[in-house]
Amino acid sequence: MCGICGSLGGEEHWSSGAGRIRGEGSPTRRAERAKRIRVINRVLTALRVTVSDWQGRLYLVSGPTGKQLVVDSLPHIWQAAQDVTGCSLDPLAQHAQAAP
Amino acid sequence: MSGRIPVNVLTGFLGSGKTSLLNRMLRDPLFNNCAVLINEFGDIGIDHHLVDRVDGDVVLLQSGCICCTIRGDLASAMRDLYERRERGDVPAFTRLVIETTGLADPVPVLSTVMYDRILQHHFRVGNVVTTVDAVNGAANLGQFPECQKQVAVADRLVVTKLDIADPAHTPALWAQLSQTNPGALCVSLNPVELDVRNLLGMDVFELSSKGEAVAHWLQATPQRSYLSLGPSNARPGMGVHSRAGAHLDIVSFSLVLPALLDWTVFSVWLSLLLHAHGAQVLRVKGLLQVQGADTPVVIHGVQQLVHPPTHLESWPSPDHSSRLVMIVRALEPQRIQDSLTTYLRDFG
Repeated sequence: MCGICGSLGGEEHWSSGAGRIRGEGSPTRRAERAKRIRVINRVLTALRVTVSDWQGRLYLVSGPTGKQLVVDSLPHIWQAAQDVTGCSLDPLAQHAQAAP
Repeated sequence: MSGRIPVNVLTGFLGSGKTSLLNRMLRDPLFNNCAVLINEFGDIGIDHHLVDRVDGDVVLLQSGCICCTIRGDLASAMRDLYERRERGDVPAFTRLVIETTGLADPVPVLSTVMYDRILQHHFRVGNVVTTVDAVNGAANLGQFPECQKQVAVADRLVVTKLDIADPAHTPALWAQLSQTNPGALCVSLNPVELDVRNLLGMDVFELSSKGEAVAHWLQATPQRSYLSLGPSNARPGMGVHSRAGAHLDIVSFSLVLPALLDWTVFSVWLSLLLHAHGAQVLRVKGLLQVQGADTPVVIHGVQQLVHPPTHLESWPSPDHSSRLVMIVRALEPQRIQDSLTTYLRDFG
């Protein structure tokens, strides 16, 4: 645990390629995290959900009504997006990411 | 990955010959440094192998193998066994084999190994070995979802009871297994031919063999047998090839992805796919050419359990295109392809 902010652990989800995807052009952990948040926000645009970084460790998920949740990994972001909107997410749904 | 003890999950439907395979394994010298977690001692008839009974749940066999019963939950049994190893109460085993019950879903076992807060630091998943009996295997595959799942998530398929099966029916069973899980290494439980080292080893986390393991599952899904799904709105160079098991709604297929994959977009997409349809995505394996990476990246997963990406030292074949092999239940490969295409095009 970080003694200053109190947040737990690092990002250990498989999707975190930093430190695992090795190469001259591989991004730093911070750059990869920033890009991941950009991509997630594009995916969640249709739901009017925004995701932002929280302390470099966690994610703040904000719904269209102002409801917010703090989560620690990618799968939890999807669950939180569903919780703050009441919609389910389906990447296979045509033309939209949200499946009512 | 190195340093952690590999865990092999031995599964198979009721009466499919798990015990026969385990008995065969226990006699093999390669098992000298193994521990085995089983349901009941009585089932495998170990009395003639027995050297010492450490206590009610743990016995030491002549081969040096440690045999334990699972009294409570699996995580507790594994932690207890590891603590005994650290204390020196049992020999320092270098591999653990977990035998499941005949109706068990192997995925929760993998989940325990990968995500238990304590166990994940001491153990890693080796592979899943599934027994299928040649007499009833085809019928069980057609009838029981548990059996289908056990076959679909396997890395190794061992066909048992070939000596009492009708030889006329066995080619159909082999074909059925190959259709359901083309990437699995399929062998028969023949004492002469069975190589325990290949059965338990050669997973993608063994540095010495991971290239070989990847090459196997890529070769096992030959392009010529794929069924074209017709035109799609995919970008040129991105194709989908699939084949369905004749008896099930389980489909295995291969996506050929654009060169230089954007890892961030790909991992966001796969994560969301598994969030929404994880129960239907039985296996995912991929050999990927990722932007910024010097060497090919391997991913593989079972349902929502995805192993962290690892690197191969070099490409296992002259074909350097990224490929994703999936085994899914009740999902259309074309929709998966279209979805991934959209994500890579629009969200990068």
